[in-house]
Amino acid sequence: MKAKVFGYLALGFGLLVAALPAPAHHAFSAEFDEKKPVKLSGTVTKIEWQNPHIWFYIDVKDDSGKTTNWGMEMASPNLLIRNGWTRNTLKLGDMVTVDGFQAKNGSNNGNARVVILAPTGQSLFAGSSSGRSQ
Amino acid sequence: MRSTIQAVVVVVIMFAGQASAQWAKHADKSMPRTPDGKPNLSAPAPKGSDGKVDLSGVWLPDADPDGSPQGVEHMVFPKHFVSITADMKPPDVPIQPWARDLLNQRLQNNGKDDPAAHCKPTGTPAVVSVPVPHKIVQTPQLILILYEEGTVFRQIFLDDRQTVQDPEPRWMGYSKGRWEGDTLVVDTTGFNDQSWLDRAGHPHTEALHVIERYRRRDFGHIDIEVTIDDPKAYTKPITYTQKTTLVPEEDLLEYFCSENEKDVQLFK
Repeated sequence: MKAKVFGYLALGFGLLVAALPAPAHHAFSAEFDEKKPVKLSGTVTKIEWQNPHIWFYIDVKDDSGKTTNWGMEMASPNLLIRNGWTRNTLKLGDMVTVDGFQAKNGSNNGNARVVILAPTGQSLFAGSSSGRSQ
Repeated sequence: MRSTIQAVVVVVIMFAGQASAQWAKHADKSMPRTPDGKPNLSAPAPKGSDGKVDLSGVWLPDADPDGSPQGVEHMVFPKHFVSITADMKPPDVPIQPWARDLLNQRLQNNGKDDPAAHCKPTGTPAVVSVPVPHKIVQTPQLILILYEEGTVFRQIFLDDRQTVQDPEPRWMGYSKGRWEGDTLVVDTTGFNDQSWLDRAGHPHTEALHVIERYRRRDFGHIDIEVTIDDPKAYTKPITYTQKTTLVPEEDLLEYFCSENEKDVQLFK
């Protein structure tokens, strides 16, 4: 019985903590792997400014010159709007550097944590950043 | 102390960028203000024409004071949104064995079957703690709560209607309200068994009875005491308090999850 209670405790606590860094829509751990951090630099090729999450796509070139397209998930439009973003904050062709975590299924998708506009070094998420001034 | 400040900062950040919101900034002339013109959230709670405390406004569930900002959203989740038993030690949780097994299964499964992740509604009472704004519209006989989460509504009837026997089971249930002094007491029954009580996945049955007690302790704060009574899933009622804070001069935006849902295909 003691072991069972402990098992429940450990399971509950461990997974609750793992579930914490989650978008409001789904548990982070259902989709992304905190053990697979990625740092990507590339050009924005597509933006889906929609619910439940904004997705943007970037072409990333590796050292051999091969280009891979990555999809990165952000928060909901409403949340970013309230952080000062507009649907034009990130534009097609923008050069960005993204810190995030890769999808558990190993595909070229990830959850973006920090997005930095390459030319200015401006972080689109940090602190009270209100996004790009128009 | 530090984490408390962090939590406050996060909420401020969340709503800092009003200039680009969908609705143009609109000054609320009825808002009590401090001498420097800022909304005075500690002013007395307002009263309606019927003399009852007026709960109307746009409200945001408070973040967990012990939490830390997470993810691109810099969000700190309300702890009862994560788990209704956040205040209890695991051995003290009065959960029936079948419900504990189902909870553990949902946790092990990383919440992949969470109805919200599949764009189904966040039901009552989880919707009370979901960290996006809701709007209360109060009239003497009917109180509406509009939730940005899922763009759903609840109707709380204060007239003398009776709940039908054997109601069609619903996600948000059927709510009746009454005043006990300055506290609005809301009884809700008639639930389906599909919603999760929190993000962890605490289950419930159709026997669920939720009692909410709304107390606007000052202009800027409503404390909502939530009691979950479902003897088929829990051996004793579970009670916790979700504090909420007024978001001055903010309004709701629509949120339709099915617009571009593409997470489920990546679940593993």
